[in-house]
Amino acid sequence: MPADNRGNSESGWRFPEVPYFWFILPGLLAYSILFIWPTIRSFYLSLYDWSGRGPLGPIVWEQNFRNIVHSDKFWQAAGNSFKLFIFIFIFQNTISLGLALLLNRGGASTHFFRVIIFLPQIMSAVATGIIWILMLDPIIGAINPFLADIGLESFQRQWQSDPAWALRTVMIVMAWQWNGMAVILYLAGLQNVPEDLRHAAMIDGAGRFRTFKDITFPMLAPAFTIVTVLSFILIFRAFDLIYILGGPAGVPDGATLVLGVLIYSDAFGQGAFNSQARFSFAMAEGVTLFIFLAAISGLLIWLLGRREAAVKT
Amino acid sequence: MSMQQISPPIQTTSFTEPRQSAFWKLWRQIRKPVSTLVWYAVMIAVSMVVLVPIILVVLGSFKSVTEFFSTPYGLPEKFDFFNYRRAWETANLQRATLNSLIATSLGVFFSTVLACLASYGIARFDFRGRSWLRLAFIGGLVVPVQLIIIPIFVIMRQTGLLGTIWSLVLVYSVLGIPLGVLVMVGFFNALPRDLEEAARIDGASHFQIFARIMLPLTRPALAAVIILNGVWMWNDFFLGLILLTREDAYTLPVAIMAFRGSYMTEWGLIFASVIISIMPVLIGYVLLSRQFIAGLTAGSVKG
Repeated sequence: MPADNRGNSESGWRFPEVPYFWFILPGLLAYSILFIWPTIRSFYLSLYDWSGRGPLGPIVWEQNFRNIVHSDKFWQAAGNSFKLFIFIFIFQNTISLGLALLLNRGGASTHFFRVIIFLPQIMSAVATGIIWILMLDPIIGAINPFLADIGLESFQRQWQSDPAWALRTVMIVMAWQWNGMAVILYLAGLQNVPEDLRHAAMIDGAGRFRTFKDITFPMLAPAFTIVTVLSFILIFRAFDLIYILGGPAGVPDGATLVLGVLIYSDAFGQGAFNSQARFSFAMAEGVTLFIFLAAISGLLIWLLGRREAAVKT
Repeated sequence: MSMQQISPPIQTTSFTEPRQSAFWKLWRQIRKPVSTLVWYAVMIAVSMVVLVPIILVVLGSFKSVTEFFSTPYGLPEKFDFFNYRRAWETANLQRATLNSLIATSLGVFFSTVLACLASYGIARFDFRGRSWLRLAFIGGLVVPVQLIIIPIFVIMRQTGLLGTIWSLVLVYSVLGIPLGVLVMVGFFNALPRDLEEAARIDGASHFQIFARIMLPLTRPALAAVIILNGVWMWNDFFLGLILLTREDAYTLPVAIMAFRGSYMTEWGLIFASVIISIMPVLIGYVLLSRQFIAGLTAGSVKG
């Protein structure tokens, strides 16, 4: 990007006096070609009937979207994504928040435990998935024998193939991987709560719980917004870990099928579960998911932002 | 809600001894050590939940097939790296590691350069539409990758890049931009203006100011962007799964999953591959844990 140097040159042709343009141009160009253009293209192609092979089919307008509404698989996947989000939301605001409160103090041992708790977050979904496939395996896994050892034989399950437990198993594995992120985000929020404010409340006779309820929790509002919106977006478009645990069809029988995996399977899935790729249909699903994500995260940010503002006054 | 509501009920008794029973006296004495003990107990329990599954995989990676099925957990007979050697050579993890290194390093490099330049332009100059431009970049974080990957797949097929590692490099270079812009714009905005004016008077060009004065000042944010994008690109499975149709271009996650399909029961071999794939990030994490933790949250906190 040396182009801008010549903006001040004494003679000859001068570059336009808009230096910011030359800074932004390379990034904007790349971003337009491989991000904005594909996004627009998806909206456009979702109105066609196109398998992805051969020439573009006829325009069918909203037919793909009608098919989505009548697709049981789509609603099943949407329901599973929603359940997953609710579970993670509750988990993050109880266990993760509790851990953040416990870790909100100084000392070398605190840092040591923070490093351990955050560890799953840096591991790939492939690593996490394979680790948990081993743990949960009914023959060689460690979970069932462990339950037997502590006298909870009745809790043993065929974790991944039991239709009632497959999704719950995915939830637990996701919580294991994502706990660290919520803990660290809440910790960052807690560090913004002034220590003297809490001390003042304690001296004024407020108990630990009162202090948390009236001082700490309201001050955590921004962190709560971030954790909620972030996990909402990440879970509704999640693919890697869930695909590795449940495969392209969400075994057993779609019990672990989520929206992120469904779109992939409809577009690229071949074999028994989907005889032909349907690019247009998958793009229509992607468009639906995008609009949903953008609308709900916008709404969440607005609502929670109002709550944050209410807290500050 | 804040202090005002808590202030009125001042309890002067809170500093005197309210109750004198033996139980409360004892409790006052042991309260601190007990709560420390409980704290350690909780932390150790949570750490076990995190570490035990990982340790079992590490142990499993040293076991042969027969040994693994007779003692799936428990220490291996001896710590022999035969699974690692086999994974590295037979399963061709060598090639996958090289591919992952290429895709991640180039992806991080290009996306960081593009994001820094664009962020500087957006943050340090006043012009109409700059907030819209910022929003256009950051809005990319809400777009599901599943949506844009289909047209990208078509573009790559048309240009003949599909299946090669270069398709992945291109996509990473662009998909890393939104996060970079999110972090860097905030950081560039916070730098003082007079710095730039002084340099301007000395005759420095905009690019010189950017490269020699501003960029070095943003080192923490730059580290955050590099770590954040580096970790996700290294770990990414989805984009590789779709774009890398040729086996010699497989990155580590794709290679391991393909490999798992063909060696279902060779757990030791699969675990060794998994450990190899985690190692680079893990070493970085252990050495730079503070930067990693700060970096991986920087993007989200600023937003």
